[in-house]
Amino acid sequence: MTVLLDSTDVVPRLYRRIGLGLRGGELDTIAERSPSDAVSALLDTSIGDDPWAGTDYTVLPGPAGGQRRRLGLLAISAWIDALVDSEQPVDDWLAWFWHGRFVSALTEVKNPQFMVDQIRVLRARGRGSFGELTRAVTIDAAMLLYLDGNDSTAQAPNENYSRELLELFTIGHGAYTEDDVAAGAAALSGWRIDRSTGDPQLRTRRHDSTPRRYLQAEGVHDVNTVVTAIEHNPELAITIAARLAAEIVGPQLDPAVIVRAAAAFTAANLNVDVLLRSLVDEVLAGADGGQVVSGPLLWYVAARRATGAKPEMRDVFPQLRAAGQVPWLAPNVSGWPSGAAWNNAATLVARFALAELIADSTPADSVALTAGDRDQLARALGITTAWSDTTAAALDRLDRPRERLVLALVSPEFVNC
Amino acid sequence: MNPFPPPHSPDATRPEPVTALARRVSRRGLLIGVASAAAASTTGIAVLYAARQTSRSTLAARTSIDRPPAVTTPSTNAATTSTTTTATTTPTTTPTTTATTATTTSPGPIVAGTDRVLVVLQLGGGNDALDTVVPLVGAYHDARPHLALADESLVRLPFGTDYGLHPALAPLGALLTAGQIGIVAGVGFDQPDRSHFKALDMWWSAAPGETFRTGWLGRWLDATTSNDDAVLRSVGLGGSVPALRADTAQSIGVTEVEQFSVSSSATDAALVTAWSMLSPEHAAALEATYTFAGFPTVGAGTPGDEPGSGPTGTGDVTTRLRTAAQLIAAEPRTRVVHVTVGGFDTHAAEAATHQRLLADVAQGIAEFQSAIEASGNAGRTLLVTTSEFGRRVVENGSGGTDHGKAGVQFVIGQGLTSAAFTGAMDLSDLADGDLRPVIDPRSIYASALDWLEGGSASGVTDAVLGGPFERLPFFF
Repeated sequence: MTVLLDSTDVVPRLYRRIGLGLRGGELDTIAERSPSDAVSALLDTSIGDDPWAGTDYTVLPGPAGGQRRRLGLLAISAWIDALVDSEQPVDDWLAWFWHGRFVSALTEVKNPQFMVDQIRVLRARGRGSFGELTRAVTIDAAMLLYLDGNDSTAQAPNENYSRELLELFTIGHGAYTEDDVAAGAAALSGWRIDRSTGDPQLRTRRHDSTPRRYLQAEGVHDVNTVVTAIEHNPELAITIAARLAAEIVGPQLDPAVIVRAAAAFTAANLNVDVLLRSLVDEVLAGADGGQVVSGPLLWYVAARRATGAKPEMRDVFPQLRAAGQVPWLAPNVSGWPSGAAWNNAATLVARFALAELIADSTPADSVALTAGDRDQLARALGITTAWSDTTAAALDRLDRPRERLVLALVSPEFVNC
Repeated sequence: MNPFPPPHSPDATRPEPVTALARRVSRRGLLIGVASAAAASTTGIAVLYAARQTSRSTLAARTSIDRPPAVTTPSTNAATTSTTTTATTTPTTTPTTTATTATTTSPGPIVAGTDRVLVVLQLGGGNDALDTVVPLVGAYHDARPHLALADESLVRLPFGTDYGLHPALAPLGALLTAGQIGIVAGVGFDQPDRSHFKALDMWWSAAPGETFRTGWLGRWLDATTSNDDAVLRSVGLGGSVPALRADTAQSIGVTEVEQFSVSSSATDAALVTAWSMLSPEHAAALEATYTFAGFPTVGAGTPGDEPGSGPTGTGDVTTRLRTAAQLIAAEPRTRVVHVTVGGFDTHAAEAATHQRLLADVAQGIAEFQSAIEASGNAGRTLLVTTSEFGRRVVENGSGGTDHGKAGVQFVIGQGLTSAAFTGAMDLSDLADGDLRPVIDPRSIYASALDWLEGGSASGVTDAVLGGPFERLPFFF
């Protein structure tokens, strides 16, 4: 596909949207490369080191609330730090993206190790076959606990996972019937995890193996046939392409972009990397769906990458919580809101507090603090759009680098990308 | 695709934000000496900030810092009612001519605590109606061999019905006896949807079958708004609140009251001022923080807690309704408070979870009513519950229940004139194994908006809800 735009605008935007944000001064490095080289450097990676290597986060069932909380926060911290430090940011961004789609929450899962293992699945499989990702997530320990598959039996199937698999995780509302939900629940019944290891096992006496009609397919009776039926549903590629496109191209994009990307996704047997590259190519060719509002977590990660800051997590957590976005603690099974929802008062106020924490732990020699004027400050933070008159006027009221950095981090120019 | 549409319209604007803020603040007696609103546009906030910092340090508890000066002349608005002398006058004494009160707001002195307040408590996840208000029939026990509550454990209702309340709701007994609770059974839209998010869209928009655009409370705010409205006229406590989404009216969303502050020790006033200049939403958020800053700390959980439990065992309903009561006492211009809690999606191990959730609901409501009574605001406040659906009649294999159709809701306040039970949960007349909807949620909304507007059927209500809906029999 022809590259029309220069690397000072659209490429940095991609680094922010799917690459977790530029590091201080990295904008200049990108500008020296051709757009295709810069994009290749972003995309041609393979997954990096395990963020949780060497630590066991297992909390066995029981009244261990304090330990569960402590280990849970440690494991979440390790993931956030890994996002900040990632040298393979697209792979790690995709894991975060899938975490917001295939949602599980520590509040229900209880054992932090199972959440760690689920994110490992998302990291390992998030850029490959969507079908294989879905098969793995369906019998993942955290998911079996979060959406009650662990307790679903042939005698009394639990519909929780079956419904959300169709409505939220794959083909979307309107593409299935209540009969499909019931048939899916039966076909997925019988899975139990080992509570100490998380290993899933199919207990045949609890499993309803009756072949059923499901999404226009006949003979569906287990995880594999359920997911195969979903893979063959024409709504799937469109739904997944649309979700990813909203993050990469922008929320108000041309539907034709989604159609083209979905076609490429389908032709590649639902390979996520192909879908991702197809959407990146659309952006490079000029597709523009408007600005993406960074949710609190990715914004926080981008701010740390840009500044080199590392605030104390004990200070950060309450503010991320107030902002409305802590990993593993999504408000419900649909994940987090997006777009203008992040413009609410609670989030604005919490972003301010987080920006102060970041500024206070930014190394003194960071370009984010040594920038001379506001244009240098913008470049230091990877901002390629011009400051608005409003932001410029607000910045000009401040003299101290620390205050100017705080304001720049919460400005629309940095929050939106 | 976003199942929780944003609470704020991204393109909504507030004219001359900082100037407007300064004007409002000035009117409230905190910026005396600032002659020109234009001049106050930026310095005003700094002055306000300094004043607040000073005030905050001397505040042991909530004081009158946020209250407007004593009122000597009623506003035009208040003059149309007969309730200006007392905040606890019940609606039965309110003449029907007050129906247009909310639409005739005009500039003038702010009257403390006469306008009515609606509190909406959303029990997210789909509260199990059958184990909340329990029908005293054998079919209930047949459908739920593990989950059914024993008849003798139920809280008896003071009015003659064939239902009893979950024992965890016992703290509501005094309110029941006082005739301040109405029970609405079999609530649901004609075309119910077992998807959380489709069902929530219907409840939030009150416009089933249409793409979500604005919330029912947002439309009421738009229909009754004026240039003079307070930043905290409508507030969402506990998360994203699409019910408040409006074309123009802004609402303030607050999740963690303890964190809702821009005044850490390291913060300087110049930075706060500059921050508030970034957008109208920033300016409004700043003003809102000053009101909340005066509230005594209430328990809140930390990440990783069990849902609905803070460090002291206090649940989200209780915590957030405490904040709501403080807000109603502190800000006389607040009209709508939407409180969101979750956890009611009880697919598994429902008995213990539901017990804990309902205990929190009961404690929260009982405490809330006591608090607003103590602050003299009980007479002007109505609380209604919502929940996207009830649950399946038959229990599943996990000791829980899956998504169903009709649910049960509560209407609570001193303003109820004939508290009772309306509707039905008929286990002999099910719809696909679910309770059949017999009362449209918009009947609850219509009654609540009528109440909010002064107490009688109103054209504003019907316009907001897109037509006339039958009112509940709890109000005259």
